[in-house]
Amino acid sequence: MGHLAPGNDDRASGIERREFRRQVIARMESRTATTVVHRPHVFGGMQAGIHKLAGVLRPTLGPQARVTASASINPNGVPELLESGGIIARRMFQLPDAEQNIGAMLLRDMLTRVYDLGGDGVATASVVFESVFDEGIREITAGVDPTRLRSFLRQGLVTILEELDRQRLDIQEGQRLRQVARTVCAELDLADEIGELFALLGAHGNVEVRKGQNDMLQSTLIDGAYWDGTVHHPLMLIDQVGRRADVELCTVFVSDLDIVEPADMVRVLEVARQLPVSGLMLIARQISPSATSVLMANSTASFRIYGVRVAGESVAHQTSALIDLAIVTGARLFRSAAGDTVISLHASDFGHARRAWITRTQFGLIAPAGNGQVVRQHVGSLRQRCIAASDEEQKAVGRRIARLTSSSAIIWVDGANIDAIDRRKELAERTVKAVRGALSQGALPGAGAALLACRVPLTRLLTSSRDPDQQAACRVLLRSLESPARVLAANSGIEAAVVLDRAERAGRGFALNVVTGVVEDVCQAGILDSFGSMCIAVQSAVSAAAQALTIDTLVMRGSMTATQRKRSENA
Amino acid sequence: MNDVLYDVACAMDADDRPISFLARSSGVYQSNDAGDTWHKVSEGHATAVEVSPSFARDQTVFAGLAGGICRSTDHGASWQTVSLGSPAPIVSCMAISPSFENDATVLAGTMEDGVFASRDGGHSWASSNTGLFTSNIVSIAISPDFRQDHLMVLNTEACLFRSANSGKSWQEIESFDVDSEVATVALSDDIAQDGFVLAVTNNGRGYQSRNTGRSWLEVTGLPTELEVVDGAILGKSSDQYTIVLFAAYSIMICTIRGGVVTTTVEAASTSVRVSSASMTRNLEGNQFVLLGLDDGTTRKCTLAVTDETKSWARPGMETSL
Repeated sequence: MGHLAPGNDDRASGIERREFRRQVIARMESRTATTVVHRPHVFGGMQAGIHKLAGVLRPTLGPQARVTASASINPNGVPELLESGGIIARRMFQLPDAEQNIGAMLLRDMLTRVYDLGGDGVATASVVFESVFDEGIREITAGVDPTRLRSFLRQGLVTILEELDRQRLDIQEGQRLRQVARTVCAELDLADEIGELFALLGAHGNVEVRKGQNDMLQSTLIDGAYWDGTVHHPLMLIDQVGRRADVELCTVFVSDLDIVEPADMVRVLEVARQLPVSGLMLIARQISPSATSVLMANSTASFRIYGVRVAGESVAHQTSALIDLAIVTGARLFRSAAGDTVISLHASDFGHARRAWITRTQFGLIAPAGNGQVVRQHVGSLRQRCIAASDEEQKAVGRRIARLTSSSAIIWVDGANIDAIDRRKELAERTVKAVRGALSQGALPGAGAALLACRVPLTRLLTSSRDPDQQAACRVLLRSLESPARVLAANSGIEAAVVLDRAERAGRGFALNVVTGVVEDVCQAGILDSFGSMCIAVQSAVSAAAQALTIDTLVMRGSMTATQRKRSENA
Repeated sequence: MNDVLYDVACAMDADDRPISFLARSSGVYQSNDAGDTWHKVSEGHATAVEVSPSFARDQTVFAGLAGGICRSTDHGASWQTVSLGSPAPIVSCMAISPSFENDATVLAGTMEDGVFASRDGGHSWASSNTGLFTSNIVSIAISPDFRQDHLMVLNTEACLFRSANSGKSWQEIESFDVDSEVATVALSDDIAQDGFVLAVTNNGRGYQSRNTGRSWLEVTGLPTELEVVDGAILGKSSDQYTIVLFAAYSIMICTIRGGVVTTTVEAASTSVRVSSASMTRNLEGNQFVLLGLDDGTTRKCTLAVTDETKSWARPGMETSL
């Protein structure tokens, strides 16, 4: 098709314009052309796409970390070397074949959610999804109704989750936590460091992962509480070594006020000066330039003054931080929404801390002087909120508890170069998520043993059922529960059928220890999985695969492929 | 200015004689004659003092100062001071590991700066506040079986905390929820078997735990309105515990069985209010007791085992300055 642009001659240009318009519309129609595929041809392409993505992720299940090279978006860019199943899945944007792409993207979407929620378990979710889908297709081809199959798969999932809950191990001590960490992170020094940190910090502990400045793995416990925040003016830290200020005997003014008038700043400083302190941390939402000038002019070597603002993803987060600050320091919280102003400020409205520190991005308080009973009640109420909260809220409240109970740590990861450090950081964050989950929710026998043990109640369900569709669902799940153990054996170069047979004979809790090559009690061997991550992985995989099996029609944008055209001609 | 007496500590020396120390605002004082006479051994405003459980062998004493810790390893003859940093913490209490000879672990509680720990016999100190949300430490109790269980119980102005890793981190004992301040926490000598922990509030209410502090039940039958300053577990016979409570004006000995006080004996009394107490056992099994009083003086007595069932005599109080 040639490309004709309108010319200058009126009559000739009219014809050309119409031809040009016709060509543009034809081009657009070819791009937005819709291809529809009905049963029984729905599953073929989808299955191929799922196999492609699952095949990429299968090596990441273990036992040793395998690296996947992912081409950069920039044609001249360096390929990324990836070990994390979640990151690999995210890099799979689109497959060339539209039908395959639908299957792959369904799997990708599920895996992304597993990664975001649990941090770990992506490879397990991938192999379980693939297995449920493959076995489900087989049953549907044999005549099982897909919708009933989905319903029974979900029922069977409940049985699996109940059995996993029965196997749950409560772990608190350092050795068990290190074992969970080692299951996620093959780098033993990093895994042990994270396990030890959580043994000290507890379930609500906060471990922040940062890129190191040197080639050593380091960690430090944070004394006291700290928050994300910024100074109101960079000049406040300009004369401090390393852009960090330390203040002893610090008084704290806590507010979300906008301090605009210099007279307001004068008021705050006058009252603060009445106190036997060496410094003032003034927390406010905004400080005007003129008020900042007053602050800076009154900041001396013997009485340092720092204006900071609390950072937060939302106003609610910022308000929560201010409430915590007020309680932990014993300060009165001045809130603009309540009409508070500094006119009513008294010396007793200030909070106190034995020491404070401020950097460009964070500030902290050491030994804050809030009433212990009040802080205790506040922490107790936050712990109660955690129990019934959603995952997101649990994380947010957990961070607050960590701050209030001096349960924070920073771990700096090292590496030979920037890419290596980035990979290690991602690995550390994933391990932190999994270990925290294990600490708060427990652990399971690893190496696929926990899922293998779920075959017992499912087998009971299968033998007691009279419904052929329910029996089919049980068969699908029974086969799928073996898939992680099979893949682990295959990745280790060991015959999977032999491993499964030995594990079944040995009994509950036994699976292949890929390090020793022996089927043994995995708990005794220290091979543990995070309970939370495993449940998220299994639940997401089975639910998503069950839903995918009910797909009746595929609608794809773009022209038909040759295969689709031939299929439609033969239909 | 008044010379305030903050704390007392005593131990048996190599000859099974009581040796005693006082922490006073004028310094650290020592008595080698069971509290009859005292002499100053260290300058500085001392606010806490603790003697090594193996003093007969290592001759080690620690004293908390305003801003630091001083230590003697030669029977009080000389002292070395280590700073705890700035701003200067005020030490409110100290506790030394029962297996100090092996693990060299000492803890110091402060009034506003939380807990400091030394793992090298007092040469260096670091804050150890992970898990705490209050910095005002009242007392520290270390398990007699510390070498195995690494267990400590921290008494703060807000609540009790428990550590099972030698004080490296703390967890609030949420199940212990009382309105009054806790005066004393004591752990059974047989804690590996019985898990018994006793806590008594300053208004005389007692609570016991049978699982190393995880859960608690109230002890009934303690003398009402008893103002308790300190206490300890004297011994155990079958399922019966004998405890001593150092009250404001008396020493009470009680036996507890199944969470109920079965006997109460007033072992001694004083007309001046007791502010601190320390106790050490001699080779005969008797307890030498040293009391610090509000007027800056001390009193001593011996709690003697009288019979095989370990009931305790009422010996009266001897006077010393």
